Order: sequence, then C-alpha cells, then structure tokens
Amino acid sequence: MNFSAETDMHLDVEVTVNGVRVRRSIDARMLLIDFLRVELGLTGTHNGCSYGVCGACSVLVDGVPARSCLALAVQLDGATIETIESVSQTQRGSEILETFSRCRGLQCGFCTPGIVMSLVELDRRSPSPSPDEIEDTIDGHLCRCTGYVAIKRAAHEILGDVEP
Amino acid sequence: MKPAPLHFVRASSYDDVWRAFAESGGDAKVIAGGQSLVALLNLRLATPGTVVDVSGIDDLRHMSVSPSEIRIGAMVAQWTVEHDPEIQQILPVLSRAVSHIGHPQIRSRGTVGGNVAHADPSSELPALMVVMEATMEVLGPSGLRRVPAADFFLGPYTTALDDDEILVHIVIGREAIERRYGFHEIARCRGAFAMTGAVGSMKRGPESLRLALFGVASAPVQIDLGSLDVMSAWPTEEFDRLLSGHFAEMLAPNDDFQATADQRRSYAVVCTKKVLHELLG
Repeated sequence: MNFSAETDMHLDVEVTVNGVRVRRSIDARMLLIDFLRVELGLTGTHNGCSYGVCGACSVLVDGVPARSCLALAVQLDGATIETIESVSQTQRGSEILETFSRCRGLQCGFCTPGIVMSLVELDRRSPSPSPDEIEDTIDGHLCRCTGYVAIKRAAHEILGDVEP
Repeated sequence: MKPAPLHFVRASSYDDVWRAFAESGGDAKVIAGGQSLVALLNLRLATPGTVVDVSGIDDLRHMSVSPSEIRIGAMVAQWTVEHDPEIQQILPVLSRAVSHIGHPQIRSRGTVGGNVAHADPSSELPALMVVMEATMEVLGPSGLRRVPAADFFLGPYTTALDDDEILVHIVIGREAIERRYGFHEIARCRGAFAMTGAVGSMKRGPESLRLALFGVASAPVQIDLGSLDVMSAWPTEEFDRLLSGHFAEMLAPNDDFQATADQRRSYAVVCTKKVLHELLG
C-alpha cells in the first residue's frame, strides 16, 4: 500500500549552518539540498543526481561528509552543517581551495564543492591518510570533465601525501 | 521538491512508533539513515504517507563490543562500525564487509540496521549475518522476538519483520567472534552494488566451513560445501568443475544490465575460491 499524504505537512527545524543558527518551518518532504539552496540561498552546494551516486551535493553533517540529497531536512533538527561557503573562512580551508585550484583539480566546477567538503573532512580526521583512504574518499564523487588524475593529484598535495 | 508529500513523525520512544504505525493505516515506513529510502522517495519508487524517524530513540543508538558479544543498535552508523578499533581487532570481517557499502559519504549516515532491514539481495551484510548466525532482535507492540539471521531474509527487500515490528538490535555471539573469515565480492567499480559476492568462516578444519553467497538470488544463499562433496578436490581444477556443476543446478540468478545469470554463476565460483584461499591458504 503506497498512498502519499494528500497535503504537505510543515515542521520546524533548527540547525546550525556554517556557524549560524537558523530556524525554519518547512515541508516535511524538503531535502537538505533544497533547504540549503532554496531556503538559505546557499547555492554553492550543487544538486546532481538526487539519489546519492554523484557526490556533488556532499556537505558535512556533524563533522562527517554526507549527501545532502539523501537527507530530509527535518531529520537534521539540532545538527551542525558545513557547506562549501564556510571553507574559505579558515586559513586551512583557504589553503585547501588554493591547492585544489593550483593543481587544476577543477574545470567546470560542478563536482568541486562536494569533493572539497570530503577532502576537508579527511584532512581533519587523518593527519596522514593512506593512498587507499584518499582513493576511497574520491571514489564517492563523479567528475565528468576535469578527470580524476588532476583531482587525485590535488587531493594528495592537500593531504600531504606523495602520489604513488 | 522530489519526494511526494508525506507526514513525518519524530519518534522518541517505541510507543511513538507503534502509535504512528497504527495511525498510518499500514502506510508508514521507518527511516533510519535514509540512504536507501530517501533515494527511493526522490525517484518516487516509494511514496509512503508517513515516514517514522527512529533516530531519537536512545536504545537504538547504542553499541557494545566485547569478545563474548557484539550488540549493535539499529541506528548505529555503518561508518561507526567500520572505524571502531575494537571491532577491527576482534571481528575485522564486519568492518571489511561494511566498507563495501556505497561510499564513505553514504556510510556516514547509513546504518547497519537499516541495511539489514532493507534486505537488498546484492548487499554484503545479510550474507555476513547468516554466516555469523547473528540474531536479529525485533520489537513490536506485542513484545520482543529473536530471529536467527537464516530465518530473517525472505526475499528481495523482504524480511521476517511483521508490519508493526522494527529491527532494534543485531547480536553477534562469541562463537561467531572466535571464527576466522574470508570475504570477496565482484563489482563494476568501488562503491557499486556487488554483482556477486561470498563470505565464509571456519573454526578449525574444513569441516567447520560455513559459506553464503549474495547477489545470486533473492536472498543470501547458504552453501554447504561438505554435503556437495567437493572439498576432496580442493584446490584442483576438478573442484572448479564440480562446483560449477552444482551452482548451475542450484543457482538461478537474474540477468540484468550489470551481469548475466551465467556470469553471476561463474563469479560465484570465483568468489567461493577466493574465500577458501583466504581460509585454507
């Protein structure tokens, strides 16, 4: 039996996004990606496939990388969310962005915000990640133009590892 | 907005869940990490009238690990299990199998309990649960049931859970923790759904072998290599021939865009051999 509800249900959600506490009453079916882009105007996070495969929409939820297309915003009441807009606010974040750019880790830039957020998290968690950990992180992202060679070079440069 | 309109219930107790189930008239779906369900909502392959969020129930968030028992609450993230140093030490196959689910960005929110209750035929954990003879603790308004993994997975996306029950804990016993394991899967690329995989375990000699395949049927398939009378031919080409013959009779996997049925049967032989090499050397 599958009958969707006939009317939208509104619920309150309170989250901290890039250090700012926000509270909104939203449709229960609103995805986190739409909450960020439409409700908050944070359009740096990109919506790609909407079913978790491409990784473009990745953000940090309570410090870990997550697909913002695979979360209903109402699931995240009380959570702390970091998006690409926050990265340049810290010195380390700026270094990551500069290195990514210098290594030509991006061309069209569509997949970039998701990849950068995953790298920001790995950089915090693991002082010297193994090539396998880096591979595993990049594997969670699809790129259709830059090519993974430059992206991986950027990742290894950022994370202080010489590519084998 | 991609999902269809839905009612969302933030349950903070089991009673909240039973109430939401009753009020939905059989049209409710539980959300744990949502890494399968929200994709289905976005594609409108699932349009439940009510979604019940169980992340607020403290009991479901606990995990305890000791050499005699591992108990995993249904809301514990795959990421947590994958990176738990004690699990990596005493039951490394669990971390290893979990690491094959999706990507790190999926495992961060995806839960072990959600994966198991979703019962995807190509998923690693149901087969591992069967080989570990793990116990699924399921709770409903009328009480707790302990269901052995072998009786839990009934078909594609179908488990022994009744409509008004939820999976609450997964319990792995001492016997399973003390065994040695082998694991192998074949997928198109890292993070993709497995086309075929095998997980096996052994206590002492080959007579204690347990093996289960995934991706070759609607649910995990237990293979009793002893009764197939193939081990005497291990590790020769005769073993491959005998096992291929048995699998041709026993297994009727799907043809799909990833692999044909014949490919899957042949991958089942390859995966079984990889597992045996890991266990027997």
